[in-house]
Amino acid sequence: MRAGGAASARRCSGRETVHMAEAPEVLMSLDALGAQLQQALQDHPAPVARDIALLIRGGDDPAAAAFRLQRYQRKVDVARQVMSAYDAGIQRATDPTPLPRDGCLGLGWLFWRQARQGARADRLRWLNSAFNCLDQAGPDGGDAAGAQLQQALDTLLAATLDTA
Amino acid sequence: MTRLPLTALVHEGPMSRAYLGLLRAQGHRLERIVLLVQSRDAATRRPVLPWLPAALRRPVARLLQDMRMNHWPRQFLQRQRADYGPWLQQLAGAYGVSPVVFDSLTERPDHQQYADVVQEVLADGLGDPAVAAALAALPARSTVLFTGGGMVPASLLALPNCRFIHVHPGVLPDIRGADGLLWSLLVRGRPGATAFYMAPGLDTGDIIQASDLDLPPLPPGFADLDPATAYRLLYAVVDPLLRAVHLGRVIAWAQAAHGGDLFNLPAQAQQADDGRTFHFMHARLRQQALARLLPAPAAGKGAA
Repeated sequence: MRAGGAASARRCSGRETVHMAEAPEVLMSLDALGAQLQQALQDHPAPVARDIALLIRGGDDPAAAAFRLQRYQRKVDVARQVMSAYDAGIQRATDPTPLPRDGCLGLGWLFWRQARQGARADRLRWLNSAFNCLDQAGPDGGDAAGAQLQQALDTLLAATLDTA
Repeated sequence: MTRLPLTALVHEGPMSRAYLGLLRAQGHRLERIVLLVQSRDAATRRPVLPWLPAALRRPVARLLQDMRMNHWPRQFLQRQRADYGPWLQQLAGAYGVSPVVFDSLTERPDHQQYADVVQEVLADGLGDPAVAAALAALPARSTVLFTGGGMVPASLLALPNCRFIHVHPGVLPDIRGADGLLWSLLVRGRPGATAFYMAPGLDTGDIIQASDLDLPPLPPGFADLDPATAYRLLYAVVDPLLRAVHLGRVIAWAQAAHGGDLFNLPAQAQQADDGRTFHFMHARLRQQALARLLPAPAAGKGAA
């Protein structure tokens, strides 16, 4: 497996703290979480929820996907709330209903995925937004998804901070 | 006292107080202060006594904004003077400034002591036409120090007689946006500051000087403060001091190398796609940023 192979290779480099975040079994369960969220959101009535499902599935034009992700990041971090529908530029809400919990977790998952690559400063920025998504998702409703994402974010944050 | 060719657009709070206190301590007197007196209560957002005539309303609004905006410095530095006194000496010493700077954070406002002319403008934020009118009436080639946070309306930045300087708590363009001090600690491992000529957009504009700064000494017991109190202490005392120190250095350089002309200092343009914009830091990361300020544990201690 691609991710597992990379993780194993890096586990041999002696930087254990970083590689705990990339342990193959952890990555597999987080991949499964992404798939579960994608499934929950793909037929949702809220257009933003469906868009998040598309972004999780991948395969979009990378530039368009990056633009949408950045717009949602700004909604989470600055507006402090993501709504259920926006205009084409993801600027003005066309449905002022807050995004449901699974949508927030899906967005948090996307930000977690982004935070696994790139420059350290960018990874920290994505992690910050992912934590904000968890806050917006609200208190744990007894589902395992929130707790799993929280744990993944904490682990990745510790690993990212350990890198120079 | 030297007369500095600078107008401070004073947005009441620790940041403007630190600038004014440091410039006074360094022997400067400003050309002018335009003091923004907020017509709304900063806490409730309600208009302050709107039924009063402006001449009576303004002093009440000024007093209220002083109480609101300078609450935390007074809370820390006056009420806990015994605890924090030695730390303030150490903090000032670390950046080569006089500890009298901190008096300005807590004293009652008397802006006449900092500038030749003090003009009060009762306004509902920077977008209020009264602010534009006050600034438009300044002489040609006025350099205006913006002492607040957030965005300045493009209409003010476009005034042909003014050029705005701001000090951002981070090295631009690497660290743009909110919580600059904390992001600097996490990303670059130390605080930083940049003086720049403001342009429309967040922390855009030509960079006059950007520098990393030394880590500040901390007061006793800082590690035991709850994160919210530690954050308030940083933003009430340390962040304003670092910005003021940087401004003081830029002014010293301008005087030594450019005849003290602040309106047209050499500056480096920023490209739109340079750097990163950060947003307010989540509590989880903030905890880590604050930990970056603490001394590292002694070698071997706690090692596996």
